[in-house]
Amino acid sequence: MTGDVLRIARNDFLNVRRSRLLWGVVGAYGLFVALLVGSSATSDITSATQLLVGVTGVTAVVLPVVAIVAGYLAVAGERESGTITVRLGLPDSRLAVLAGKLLSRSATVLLGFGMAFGVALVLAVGMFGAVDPGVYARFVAVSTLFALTNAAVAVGLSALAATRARAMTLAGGFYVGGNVLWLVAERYVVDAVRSLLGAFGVDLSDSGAAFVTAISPMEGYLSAVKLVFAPATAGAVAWFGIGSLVAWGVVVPTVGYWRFRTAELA
Amino acid sequence: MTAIQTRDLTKRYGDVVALDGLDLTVREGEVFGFLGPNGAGKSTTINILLGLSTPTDGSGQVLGHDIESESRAVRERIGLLPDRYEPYERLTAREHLEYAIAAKDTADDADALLDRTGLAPEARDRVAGDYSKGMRQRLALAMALVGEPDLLVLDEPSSGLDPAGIAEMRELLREEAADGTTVFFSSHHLSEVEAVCDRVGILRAGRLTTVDTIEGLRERLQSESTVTLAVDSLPDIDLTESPGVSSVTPTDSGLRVACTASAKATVVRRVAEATTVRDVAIDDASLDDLFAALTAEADEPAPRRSKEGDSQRREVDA
Repeated sequence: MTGDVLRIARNDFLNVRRSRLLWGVVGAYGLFVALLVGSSATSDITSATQLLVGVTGVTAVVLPVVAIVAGYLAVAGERESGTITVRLGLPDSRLAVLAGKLLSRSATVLLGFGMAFGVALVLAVGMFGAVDPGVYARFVAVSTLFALTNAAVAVGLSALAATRARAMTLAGGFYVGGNVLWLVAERYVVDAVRSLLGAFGVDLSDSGAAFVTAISPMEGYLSAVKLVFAPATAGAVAWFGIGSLVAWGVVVPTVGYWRFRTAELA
Repeated sequence: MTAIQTRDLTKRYGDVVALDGLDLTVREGEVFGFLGPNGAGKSTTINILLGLSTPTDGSGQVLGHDIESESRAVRERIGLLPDRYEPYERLTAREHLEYAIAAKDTADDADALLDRTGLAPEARDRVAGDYSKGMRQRLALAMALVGEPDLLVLDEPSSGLDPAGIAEMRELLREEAADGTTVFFSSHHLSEVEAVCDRVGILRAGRLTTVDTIEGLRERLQSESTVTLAVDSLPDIDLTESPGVSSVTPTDSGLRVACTASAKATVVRRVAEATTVRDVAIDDASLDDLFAALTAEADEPAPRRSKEGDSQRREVDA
């Protein structure tokens, strides 16, 4: 099984690595970061840590796009083109195929952001002479987790879709609903949870509301980022954000596999 | 042991019956042609055998393994050339084959396989996205041959190949069959399968209407000749009394007589005795005509399957 997964992942990675679209999107992320660094909006930044704080905002919005693009066609693309019949005409299980896809798309994301974070490090060192290694390492770790979550969700959603169009709808829906729209709608969700708990005589505190907010991947990331810059005061919500990211990355692919296992592939 | 055995295999998509109680037996070592017009259910059958699609009803075994619960064991021992297939467009032929060889854990040589299916050496390290349909087909066929499978399942293998390519493919199928490999392939051209097949199964609207050898199909043809005569005046004789004549139809210039092959000469002689014959045309139905007749009503909805469900030897009703 492990050997099968690695072989499938290697083969898929080889195919993805040659995709221009993906590297275009990774390049776009790099460009956003460079623009931010070079723009006057950040002229009052005086330390590398402050620069990373600025980069966090861009990362929260743009990084999921890159990760989702890396993953959303992983399975659905093969179903639409018909390559899946070649892959599953061979004696591999569907679980191995999906696991291989998760692995290769994760590796793609790691490679892409590894390069982007490397560039950010060079820029920061160039501008400020030194970077706090602890802050930088934590920033890379939390941001990478965020990227892997989005890639895993995209692969999981891809396993639910039989066509490119459907995969695109699901991935777009996830990005808008789970990331962007959540920033607008989170207070309504918090209000709803507060009323619901109120009906049972339980009062939702402001710190409790922060947990509710961190359920979405993007807010989960923004909560978890507190561990990067102020680990001493980050508190439980930041760890809850980490947990939220992990949960999304596990649950959605699991649901995807549950449907893909018995899906009609031809 | 039988290579393929299905019992009452049925596939419904909502109200549409794609496959209607298929009872199919393919013996080990034979070359079996699976014929039918587009939409008859050929690919549906193959996809179910491969575990890509789940039957609504019925069961099947391939090389002794259950197609649903032992799909991986089935796929270990077969080579597949899918119908609606695309290669990975950013991978080369060699990378495709190396993947299949690793998946089947065999020691095949990619170049040797591509030599057999005739993909030019200079194309093997180019990405498959640039390949023509014929080259893709040669690549897919090479992948199907990986691991010396006991059963080759080929869905429309000649599609995209030019006549020379089709001839090469036939030769390759003969070689495989000579090695003892069972070959199961689908086609919508009878002429394609008659050259290589031991037996032919004809699928129409999801039902197997005929299973026979090529010789058996030819024998059926013996009863189907048409003699068209141009005559000065319609003869005053009753040809339907002659043995072997099934129908007589007057035409603008004479008569059209449907009869057995052996009755043709008598028909012509009797008409010539009664009137002046200006022209004679004899049309012996070809295998393609028979196939067309056997599959003519493919557009009709599939009839309800009888309780007995044994459609395998059902006589042709077209």
